[in-house]
Amino acid sequence: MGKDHLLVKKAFIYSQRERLENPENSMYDNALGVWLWGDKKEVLVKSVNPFRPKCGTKKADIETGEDVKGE
Amino acid sequence: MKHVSPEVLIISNKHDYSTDHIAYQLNKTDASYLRLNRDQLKEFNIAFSPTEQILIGETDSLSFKITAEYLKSVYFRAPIYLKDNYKPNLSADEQLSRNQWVAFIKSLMVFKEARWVNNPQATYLAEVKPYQLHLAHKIGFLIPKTTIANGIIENNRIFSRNDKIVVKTLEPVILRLNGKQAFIYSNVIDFEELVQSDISTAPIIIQEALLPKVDIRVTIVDNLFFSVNITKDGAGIDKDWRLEKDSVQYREIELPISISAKCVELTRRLGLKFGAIDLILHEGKYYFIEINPTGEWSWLMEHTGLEIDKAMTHLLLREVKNVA
Repeated sequence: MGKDHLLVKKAFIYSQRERLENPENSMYDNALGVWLWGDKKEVLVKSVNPFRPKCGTKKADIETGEDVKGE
Repeated sequence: MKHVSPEVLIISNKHDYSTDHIAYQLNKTDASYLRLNRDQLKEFNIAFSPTEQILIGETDSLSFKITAEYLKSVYFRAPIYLKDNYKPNLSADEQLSRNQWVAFIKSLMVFKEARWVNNPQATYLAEVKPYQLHLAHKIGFLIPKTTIANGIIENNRIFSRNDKIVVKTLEPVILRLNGKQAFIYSNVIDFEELVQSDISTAPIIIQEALLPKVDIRVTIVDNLFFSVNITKDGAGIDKDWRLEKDSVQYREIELPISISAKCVELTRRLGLKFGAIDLILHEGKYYFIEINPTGEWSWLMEHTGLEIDKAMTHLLLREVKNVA
């Protein structure tokens, strides 16, 4: 068996997420195309919810990543 | 049941929260829009006539009819080909489903009269990093010394033993490794380490490491551009800054006109309406690193307050509202 490729040796390893979880206390509105949060049904990404999803730069956050777009 | 005949179509994914920002902005206008999530398509009954340019679909709560007559723009946030082959244990049904829905989404290019942000055909070409470098060089950008290789050819050396170099993939890839997943960032190494390593099984990009450096992200939305630099404790980050993303600062900056004009020109020449360009500032000079036609942008809004969502929405509505 040969040596590992240089980039395989340099790879950043992380635990695989089994599936995407829905944001807590939120529901997706098909007609509006946004997630709504809480009893007041605020638009989640614009809400004051401190746990609202923060979009990262999406590399290791691959589940909605710019390179895989949710694959 | 609600019915929509959209002027703006968004192709996305249910958990793609950046898309929520666009839907939110669209909802504040009187434009009709539809967000179709690829992971929900199975919930619809869908029929598509490519010759008539009509796509209809319905669920219990929502029906839609997309026609070339009404559809003015498409925000395409989906991969242009299937990239999740690193995932194990997919049933044959699931493999078929994923494969065919990706193909189905691409078939919506039948609506060719609409403004696509971005057109998948343009994205396909624009994602080829060597092509980006070639075109950026032609436009007049400075480019770090670059070679793409799976070995060292002695009489073709452009680096010497003491050089620092960047090694990276030709395109992003996620690997299955030891029961986990792995992503390959850009790595700064000594050229000597490359000489001692094995890269024969896969070509890589080998690039001059411009150090010290300050990373700059330029987000292009048609003719608008949003530029930020990325630093940590007031200084540039020599390694791949994405590894430090929780402790870096983002600050809006003004680029020299000649550089911003090249960014817009590159995006235009690639046939893109949107692009996320990575530059490096090194010893007072700006270098082109890459452009991502599907790059993320909402994280910049979080950190800088830049209203990229409004710019994107304005772009999508331009045909609808006939605004400049």
